[in-house]
Amino acid sequence: MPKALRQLLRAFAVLVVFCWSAGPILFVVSSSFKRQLDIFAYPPKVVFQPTFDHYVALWHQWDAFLPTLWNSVIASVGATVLAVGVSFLGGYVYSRYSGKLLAISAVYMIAIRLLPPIVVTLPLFPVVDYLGLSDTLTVLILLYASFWVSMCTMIIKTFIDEIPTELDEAAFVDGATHLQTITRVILPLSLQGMMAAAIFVFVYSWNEYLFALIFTTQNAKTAPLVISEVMDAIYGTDWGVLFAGVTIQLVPVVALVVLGQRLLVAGLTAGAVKG
Amino acid sequence: MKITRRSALALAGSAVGAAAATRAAAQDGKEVTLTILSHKVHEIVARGLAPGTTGGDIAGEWAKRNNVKLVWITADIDPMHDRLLRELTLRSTAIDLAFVINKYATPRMSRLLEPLAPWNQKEPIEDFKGIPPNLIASTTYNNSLFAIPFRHATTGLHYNQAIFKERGLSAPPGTPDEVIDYARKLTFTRADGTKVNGLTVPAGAGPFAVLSMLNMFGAELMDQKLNVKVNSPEMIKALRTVHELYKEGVLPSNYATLSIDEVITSVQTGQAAMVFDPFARYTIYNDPKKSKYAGQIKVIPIPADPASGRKIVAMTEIWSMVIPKNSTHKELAWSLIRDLSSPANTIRAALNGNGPIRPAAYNDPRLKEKLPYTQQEQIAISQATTIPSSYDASGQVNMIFMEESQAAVLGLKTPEEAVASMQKRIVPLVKR
Amino acid sequence: MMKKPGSAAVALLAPVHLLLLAAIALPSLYVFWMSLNESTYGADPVFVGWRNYEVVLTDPYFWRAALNTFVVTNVVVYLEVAMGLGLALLFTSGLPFRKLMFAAVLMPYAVSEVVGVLAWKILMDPNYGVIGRTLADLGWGMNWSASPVQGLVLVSIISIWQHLPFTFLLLYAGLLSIPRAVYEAANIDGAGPVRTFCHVTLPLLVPTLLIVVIFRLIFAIRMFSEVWLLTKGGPARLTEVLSVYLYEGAFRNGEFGTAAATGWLMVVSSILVASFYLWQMQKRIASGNA
Repeated sequence: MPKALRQLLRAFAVLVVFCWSAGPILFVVSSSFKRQLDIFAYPPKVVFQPTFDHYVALWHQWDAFLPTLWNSVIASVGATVLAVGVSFLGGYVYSRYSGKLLAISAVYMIAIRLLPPIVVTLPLFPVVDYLGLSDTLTVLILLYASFWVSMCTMIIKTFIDEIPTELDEAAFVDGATHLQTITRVILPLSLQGMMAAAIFVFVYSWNEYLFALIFTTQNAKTAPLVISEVMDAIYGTDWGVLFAGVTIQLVPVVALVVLGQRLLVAGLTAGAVKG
Repeated sequence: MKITRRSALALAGSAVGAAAATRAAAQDGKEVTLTILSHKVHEIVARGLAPGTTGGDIAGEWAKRNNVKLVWITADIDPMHDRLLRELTLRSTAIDLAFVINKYATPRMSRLLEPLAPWNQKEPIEDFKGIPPNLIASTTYNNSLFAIPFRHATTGLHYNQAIFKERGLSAPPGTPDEVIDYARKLTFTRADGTKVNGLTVPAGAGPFAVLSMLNMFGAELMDQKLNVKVNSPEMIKALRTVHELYKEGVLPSNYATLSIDEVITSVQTGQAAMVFDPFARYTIYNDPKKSKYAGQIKVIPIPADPASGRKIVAMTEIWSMVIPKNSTHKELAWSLIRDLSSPANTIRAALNGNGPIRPAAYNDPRLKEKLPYTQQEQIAISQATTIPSSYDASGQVNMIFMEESQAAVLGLKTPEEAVASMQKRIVPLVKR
Repeated sequence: MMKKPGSAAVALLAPVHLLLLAAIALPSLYVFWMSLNESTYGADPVFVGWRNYEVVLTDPYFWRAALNTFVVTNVVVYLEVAMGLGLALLFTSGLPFRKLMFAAVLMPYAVSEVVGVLAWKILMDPNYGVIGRTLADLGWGMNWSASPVQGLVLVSIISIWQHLPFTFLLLYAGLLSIPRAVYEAANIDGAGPVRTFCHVTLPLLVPTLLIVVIFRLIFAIRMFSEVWLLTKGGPARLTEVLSVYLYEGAFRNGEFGTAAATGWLMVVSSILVASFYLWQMQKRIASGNA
């Protein structure tokens, strides 16, 4: 294939991928700056005078949004750190050890994730209440992390698999303890997998609705609950305000993705080390 | 706020109840927290949060008088009832007062709620008789009053005057046949390719809106005594007509999945000429910030078949206040219920955008001046019926109705087959 | 030779398994007990044995939902994995604006499922949606609201859109972690790009592919928002999937016995659908040839 044609095809593919992935999101973000009358205009207004009215309205009418956003940050960061932390330890074991029992426990770990969460909440609700954990961020962090440790463990395991065992053995020979080997040798080389896992847990916790609805009242209320109230069955959804809230919610995720990108690509060089 | 004679009386009246509540609060000397679970709309009308409304902060004033801190937990309709039901099963719940919509107020739920008649005997609601008996009947099960009505949402027929003019129609339809005839005339495609549907209804959102439409033909799911009436000539005729309208493109092609939001958007953008929807929607239909046709959307009660001897038909959904049996601040909760239910505060909440459950409220001059549609709404509420929910399987019955009526409208079944099947499936569920 | 797990390994595994046990495993067992009882809000449970399972398994709507779920799940997962792999290869082979594109590809994951589906529903509206109206004007209008097949096609498209970032991210990270030296060796041996992909890249990617397929199957079988917000399972319950069946048919009516039974039936069917992959995974862990 001539080089020019290949370049053209590549450029076309990039364009298609961009429109497919980012198109609906750009619709949401641009709508947050449009007058409500223009959001549903057809043909769509591509050039328009941006307005910040919806952001102002969000600030005034939904004063709970900001504090709940902060709760979301704590819950998401907490869940991510906890889930990735314990999954790293677990993933190390699943990578470096073998055996029938271990294999069964891996299947069990995935299998118990299969029950739909709404059913799981039935017995959880009275227990959480009994333990006095209702309306605390602790319960959200524990639940979010629990629901993701299965997958994080398995993801991180596949990345640790890529690290040659000779490296751990060399460290042992040098007199490193078990924990030292894990933190000094394995950890830096499995950052890629941990980053991928972290993105999943964070994004999930950041947008989670069901647990937040059931287990929080006021102090631990998270942003998705406020967002869902803007989508309202009585007055009708206030689209501009909804999209403004969603746009604000996008910011930390984008930041995490940019950071994640660095770590993932840093893995390119790490890959060379591994070989 | 100006203190009228009426509200002064109300203040005096509620002071008695407030005194008892204050005693409870004052005993440990510190502020008591009262937690309310509701839809956002209740907080808005009880506290006067919507911009431009004049009713004031009713709940806030009560809280101040009683040294209470109010905490509102708000969520959309389904999630908030889900949460409420879970809370009701705990040994003791933090929820002290909740607002429930009639379709969820089944006997099963009522058994978990505090019976309110004894409270009302001890400290009666001011002018309790001013609340229509049929509404009280809908919140009474086995002779036990379990909720006090607070808000109604009654369906009317909204129409876009500008589109009417465009199509040479000068007045709103006066009979069901005219509604159908006009709907056909109002269906057309504009020069720029925009399609205008003569009629729309949030048919994907649940049975309420659809039944309001079918009710125009005299069709109903069941009567107030739970006799299932779905297998009737009226229902067959109604479903056949709606099916024809769908086939002709008078109703939108995405009829079956139309949500409330989509209907609102299509009215605001002028892509629907008439819609069956609650009266209170008037405000957003005519909001210049959101609607291309602000000021042009009018609303009337839904006309009835003249042969039926009625002039109009209307269906209504009622929100009521309840106290969980397992709550810890029943006295305070009852005090707030009494306060919110007083005639004066019913008017104030109406000024804040609430649908007042006391018909007398509509006579208030402030309300007449503020909300032009309330006179039409008053006519409708006097005739309005609810979808009965005084049996546990109400949720399943709604689901069956949605399934079968959609099948008939989209032409997957004949109306005769659909109603026969509905009757057969629904009767045992209601009897159970 | 891989080590057998000793006390150190057990200690390292403990946190993960404690979380799972407390938050999911014990509640799941309780749910199983619920599935053998008739229970609802505020009523004492009544033991009914397997009757709830019988009720669900003889309900034609359950089977309709199961069939829809099975078809949609398989279409979505395999199409998505193919697309994710293609995309990941595009990224590793170098492309213009890589940083921007990476962020763009992950975008659908950044909004909640609810918002994503609602955005699509607006875009696909036949009257005012940019895509729906344009298609209609071109004469290719969809009627996903009235046609169950088209409804499920749109559900699948939205589901792929929403989860492609997941598949892509894992496969991309997996590709990046393959040591460069391996490719260099293949190059020296004179293997072409197709041969290199089939004989070098793919085998090394198998562990990642297993994880991707297993978890993606799990998520797809539990698919809820896409259907609930788009069609509510309609028209006439023809587009229901298992989660919608569980929620609308049992949970919302407070029939927790049947809801729990449906939940456990979903667990069993998920295991069946994913059994081949789960078997492969456990074999690898058991023998240690990860």
